Amino acid sequence: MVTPTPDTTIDAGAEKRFFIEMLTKDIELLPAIVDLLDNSVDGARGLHPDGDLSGQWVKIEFGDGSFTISDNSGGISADIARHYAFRFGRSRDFTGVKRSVGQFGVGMKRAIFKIGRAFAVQSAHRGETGNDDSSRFHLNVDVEQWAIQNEWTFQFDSVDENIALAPDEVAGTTISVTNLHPSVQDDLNDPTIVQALRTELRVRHQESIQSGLQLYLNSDKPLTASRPSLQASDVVQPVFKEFQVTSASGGVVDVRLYAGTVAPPKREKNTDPEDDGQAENFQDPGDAGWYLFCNDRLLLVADRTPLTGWGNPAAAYHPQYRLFRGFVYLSADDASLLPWNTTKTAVDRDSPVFRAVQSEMKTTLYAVQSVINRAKQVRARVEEEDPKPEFLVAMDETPDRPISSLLTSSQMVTPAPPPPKPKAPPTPKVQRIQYVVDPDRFGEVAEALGASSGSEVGRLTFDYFYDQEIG
Amino acid sequence: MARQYEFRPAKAAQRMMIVDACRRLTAIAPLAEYQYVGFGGLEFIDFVEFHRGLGVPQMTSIERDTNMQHRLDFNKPYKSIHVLMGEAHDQLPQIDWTKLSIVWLDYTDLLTTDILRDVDYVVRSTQPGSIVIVTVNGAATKVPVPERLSNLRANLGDLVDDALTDKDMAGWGPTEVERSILQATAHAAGRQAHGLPFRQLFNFHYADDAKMLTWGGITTSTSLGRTIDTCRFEDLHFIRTGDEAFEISVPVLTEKEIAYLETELVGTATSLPQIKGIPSTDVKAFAQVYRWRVGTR
Repeated sequence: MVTPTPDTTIDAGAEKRFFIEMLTKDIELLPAIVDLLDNSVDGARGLHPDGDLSGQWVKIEFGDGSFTISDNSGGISADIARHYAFRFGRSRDFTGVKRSVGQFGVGMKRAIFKIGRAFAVQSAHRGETGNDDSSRFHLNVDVEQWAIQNEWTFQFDSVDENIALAPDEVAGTTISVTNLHPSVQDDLNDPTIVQALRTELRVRHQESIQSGLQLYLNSDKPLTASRPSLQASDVVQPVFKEFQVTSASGGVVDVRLYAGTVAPPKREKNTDPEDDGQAENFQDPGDAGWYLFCNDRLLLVADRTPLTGWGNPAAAYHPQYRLFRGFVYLSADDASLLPWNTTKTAVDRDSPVFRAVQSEMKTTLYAVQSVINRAKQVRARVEEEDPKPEFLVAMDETPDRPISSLLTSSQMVTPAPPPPKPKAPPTPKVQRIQYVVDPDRFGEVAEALGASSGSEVGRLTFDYFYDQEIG
Repeated sequence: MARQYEFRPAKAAQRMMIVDACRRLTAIAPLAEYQYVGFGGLEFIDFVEFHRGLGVPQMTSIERDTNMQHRLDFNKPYKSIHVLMGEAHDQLPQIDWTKLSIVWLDYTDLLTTDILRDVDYVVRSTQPGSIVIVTVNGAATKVPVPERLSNLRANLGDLVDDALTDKDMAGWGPTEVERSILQATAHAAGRQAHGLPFRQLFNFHYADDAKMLTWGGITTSTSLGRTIDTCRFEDLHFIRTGDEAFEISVPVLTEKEIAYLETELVGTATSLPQIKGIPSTDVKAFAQVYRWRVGTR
């Protein structure tokens, strides 16, 4: 008799509903939308290795129960769509875009699931030659239905391959999400959330916007981004260090670190920083702190926590540091070397690359704080009638310049603060005594002492008594 | 040469020991490439010792009392000493940290988080191969035992181990807590900034007056670790790389007693000489410090 081989296989498959729920649980709506934008920006950067994104655009529109993001970032080829773009998690053999933001291969799908229960993707991809190597596809997915089917696949509704795109046809991708989750629908109707989204997009992708990307949010006017700037002149030089960090695997991360101060707003130029604590002069910390970019995508915004040195080893944030700004840019061809968490909302603090950068940020913050402290001390001791020291003039009047124009400097350079005036030593306290005596007896005492004047007799007799009886 | 510090014999011996250890840095770089950074005070004693002992040419003193500037300028033993006026945390960033350094943050206060910030900054900023030394009050003098733990917590917050009780606060207990917090801070800063933890070399206890702690060591890096091994710091009997401290006590002896003990001590490793009426603990203490004792023989 042959014993049947027992079935040794145990089912450890994933339930799709559980998978979708877990995937979207830890991301909030705004980071999810920024994540979608990351894909478009990566596409645009892939088209322009020189970094000049002029002519590239991304449009985000929502309302009427739908959410759409479209771009002219080159599109997804049918082949990439079939094998890579819709997989969950990046496949090992997928090379991706150099210096990309996308890294984990979850952003697009997770964002879509977060927003709604049905989506359509339409993409036109222009091949390298443009002749018969281009493609176009369209797919529609009902997430509820997909969740109950066993296969981990989507179906193209239409696909054209080995075609030529018309010269004026936009090569790009449009993703439309419909059947929005009720909470998302509510959020997208809330003006404050839309405002927060606008700020988030503007800030997080400020480098790409600076490089020419046109980013539209429910409007036909592109968003503008501020240009990171620090006070700089012939006499004031912020810190600017450039260095490389080598990861454990041997990959190289290029680091540019800028830190210094921004010009005080006009109205506060002559206010005494000592007034910081007073309610009427309360200063919003606002933009003060560190900004950390990974492949030009902003990860930390105005960070004033111990993560970037505040309170360890530098002083904790105090309003006197409100003019501090630090900008750190990490870039790597291989995005996996960069210290981001999967939602790209924070850094991976355990990353050795981040630790090395963090250490530079900490010592730099400590050093810039010491300049700010000195300014405060000098301000406190300058008398009204004194001419304003060159150091304070520089700190107060030096205008901001874009950091792209700075020269490297390992220290923050300023004019030397005036030395403190040493205080005169305090005059010793004295007690004066005076008394009247018989002139004959005075003469005898003076002769015995060898003294010639009344004051001398007084002092010597006092000393004599002191030495004999007290000292 | 009537210097005030002759009234502080343990501190003086400690200074000579540290200078002696620093001679071994020559395995890393010529000593003339090191700079010395200290809190010279009016007397600049450490500056004289480090210059005489090591030939360190470039020296910077940080002085918080801005009223002393004229006297400092007058008292400087070498014209080239650069004096920075102000609090350490404001002045330390002014130092050129691209040079190898011997830094002695010689506080008289108890250890606080402010001091730890300075230590963290210096460990991060110094080049690997630099010496960082910190002196603080050992938190045990004139503080009744039941108040010591709460005192430490007030100064150092969560850094003080929760498991500690009043029983741990006897004798040098609070000082040991300060030492472990200093080392933990430097360990982390060194690991982050240079890839390898800070290596402790010094853990001195001494009490010329108040109980004091002098802790310190060397910043290292993955590429320098081996070279630092060749300095053979551990050959010096006062080097302490762990919890256990080297306690410096300089016994009070007459010139004649000193001369006799030294004559007998050297070369007789087996048993210590004796003088009637002098406790053997004093003779033992003397044997530990006589080579670094300051004063006439």
